Amino acid sequence: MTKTIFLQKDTNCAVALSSNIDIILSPEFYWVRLFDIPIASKKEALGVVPNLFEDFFDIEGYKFYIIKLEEYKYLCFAYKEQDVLDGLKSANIDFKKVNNIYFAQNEFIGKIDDKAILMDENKFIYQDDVFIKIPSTLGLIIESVDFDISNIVLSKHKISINQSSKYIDTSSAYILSSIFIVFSLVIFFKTYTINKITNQYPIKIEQLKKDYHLMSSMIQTKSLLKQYQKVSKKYENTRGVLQYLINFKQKTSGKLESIEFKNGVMYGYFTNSNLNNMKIYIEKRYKISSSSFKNGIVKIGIKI
Amino acid sequence: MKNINPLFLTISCIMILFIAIFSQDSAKNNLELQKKEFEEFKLLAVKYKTQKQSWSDKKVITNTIQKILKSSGIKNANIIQKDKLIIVQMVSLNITQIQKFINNLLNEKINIKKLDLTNNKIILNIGLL
Repeated sequence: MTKTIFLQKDTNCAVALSSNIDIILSPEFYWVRLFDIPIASKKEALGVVPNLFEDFFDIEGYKFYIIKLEEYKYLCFAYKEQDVLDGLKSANIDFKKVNNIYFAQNEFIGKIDDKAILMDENKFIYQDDVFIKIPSTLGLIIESVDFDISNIVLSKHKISINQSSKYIDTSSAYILSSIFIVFSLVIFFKTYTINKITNQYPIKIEQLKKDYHLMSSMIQTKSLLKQYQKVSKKYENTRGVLQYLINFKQKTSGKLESIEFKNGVMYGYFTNSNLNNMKIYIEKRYKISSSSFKNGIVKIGIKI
Repeated sequence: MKNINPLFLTISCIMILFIAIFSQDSAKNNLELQKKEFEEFKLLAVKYKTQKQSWSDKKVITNTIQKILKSSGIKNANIIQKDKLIIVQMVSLNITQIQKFINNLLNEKINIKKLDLTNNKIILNIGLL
């Protein structure tokens, strides 16, 4: 349920309010004036209202609200959001609970006739169609009636206040937010594209597996590759030993009769050669596993 | 819309932007990781294929042997293919043929399991993985 409060500068709600609240601003919080503006559009008319008020007070920090009464005739309001916020604070009203804010000017028309009404020890009256607060000195001699504000039917003319207005105004917030959203969308789209590319890599890997006839699991492939590397290393050694045996003539005399490689041992058979010289030659690079001299043949074995 | 706090709206949009930047950054890192993984895998695959051809592919090895025999001028070689073994028997060879064969053999990747080389014959056993 929504409660209505008539907010004055000296209002004080001693008990914290639990329900939502509609606020009616007393005339202390706003300026009101009837202007003849030769502009048909209400929106365009609002644009010139600050200049019209400028003749009466410094409009710095003021916000404006207008009601079109008839063609080229506007009821214009000027108010400071910060004043309203301060008023709410001093009245001990939580801004978060405020639903709508109304101007008293519009809310009592046709409800109090020409009578003065008493609101929290202050008296108010319509004078020349403007709702005013009666000065306390005059208030004593003017009779007033009590007015029950709880059942009042409020008009459609309301204002909203953004508490953060002192940090950023609404239009700047919208512009900045739009820029951020556009950037975010661009980045999100780029991220989507990146993810799409990323998701293709597992498919590419699967294709690679097929193209290169890889084993089903990486462990199997790596294990086999390890075996291949082992064989490759062994091959390098075999090749090296074979080449070294063939090139023996560069260092020593003799004739290579035959080469035999079995069970991981390479044997070289030499004739017209000296066993010691041959051993010296071989041991320069490899370890001899067996050596012999029989029937004029030098036999050298190298373990691979 | 009218009642949306502009500061809240701006901060929310900044947060969305941060989330977008963060998710893009994360996606980029993931892409780099996948790319790297793919490149490593490709390298492994190429290595695997090359090694497999050298040490396991009977057809490739037989072709290599025939190429060696041809360039060594050996025509009467006997190639016996077994399950995991290829036996190459060459007899009545001259020294030039033997030298050429050995030189060519040393230039190819072949898993020599057994070699019997004399001044007129070569018996070579090639192992397959």
